Amino acid sequence: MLVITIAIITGVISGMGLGGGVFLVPALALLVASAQHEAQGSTLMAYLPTALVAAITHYRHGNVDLPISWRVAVSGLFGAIVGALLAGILPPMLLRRVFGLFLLVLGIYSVLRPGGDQSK
Amino acid sequence: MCLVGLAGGFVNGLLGVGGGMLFIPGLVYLGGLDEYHAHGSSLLIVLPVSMVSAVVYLLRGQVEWSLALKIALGGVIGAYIGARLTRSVPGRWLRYALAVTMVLAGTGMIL
Repeated sequence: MLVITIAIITGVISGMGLGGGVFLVPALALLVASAQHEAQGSTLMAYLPTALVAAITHYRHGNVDLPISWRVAVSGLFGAIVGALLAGILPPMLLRRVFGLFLLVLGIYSVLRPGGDQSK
Repeated sequence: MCLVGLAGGFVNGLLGVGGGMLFIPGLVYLGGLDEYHAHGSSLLIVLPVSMVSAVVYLLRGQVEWSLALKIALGGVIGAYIGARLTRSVPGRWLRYALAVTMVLAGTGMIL
């Protein structure tokens, strides 16, 4: 029940366009005591159906620039493979700290960035 | 634009988050897209990228299906509520609250 509650809350944040994904992994790690790799892997897998629906919806509404998306996505695939393989090498505690550092920087940046009041 | 893809994809694979926090600013500032197109394009990019990352975690046996199912279920309900709330909730304070949450959670994970 805790997991579903957390997922609903982060889903609300995500649905508002505020990037709920970054809250899901920490919530699972800190509140549910999930292992770091399993929290990340399960989050990625769980996100796929939602991502599919969101992508189709935005595509239909014409909110997608296909030529640019195509280029970024292809290079993104390489980045993802490198990142995911690197995650596999890191011990869980180190991966958790890397995530924490990323979150800390992102939190500070989201307050300080120019135009911080606009939608992300 | 390829660097944006590599960086966003790397974060997606390493940390298991979408990567929109890198894709969207990259698409706006380097790709010249407006916010709406950057948002939509980012979602289209995150889909295949997350799929590849998820497969790597899956092959390592690091996907807990019962956990993923609960996350997906709650996520869909939440996203529906969130999409409806967007128009009524004041943005700025919520953003600050989320930023504070990020800093606290980030610190908690480092310690």
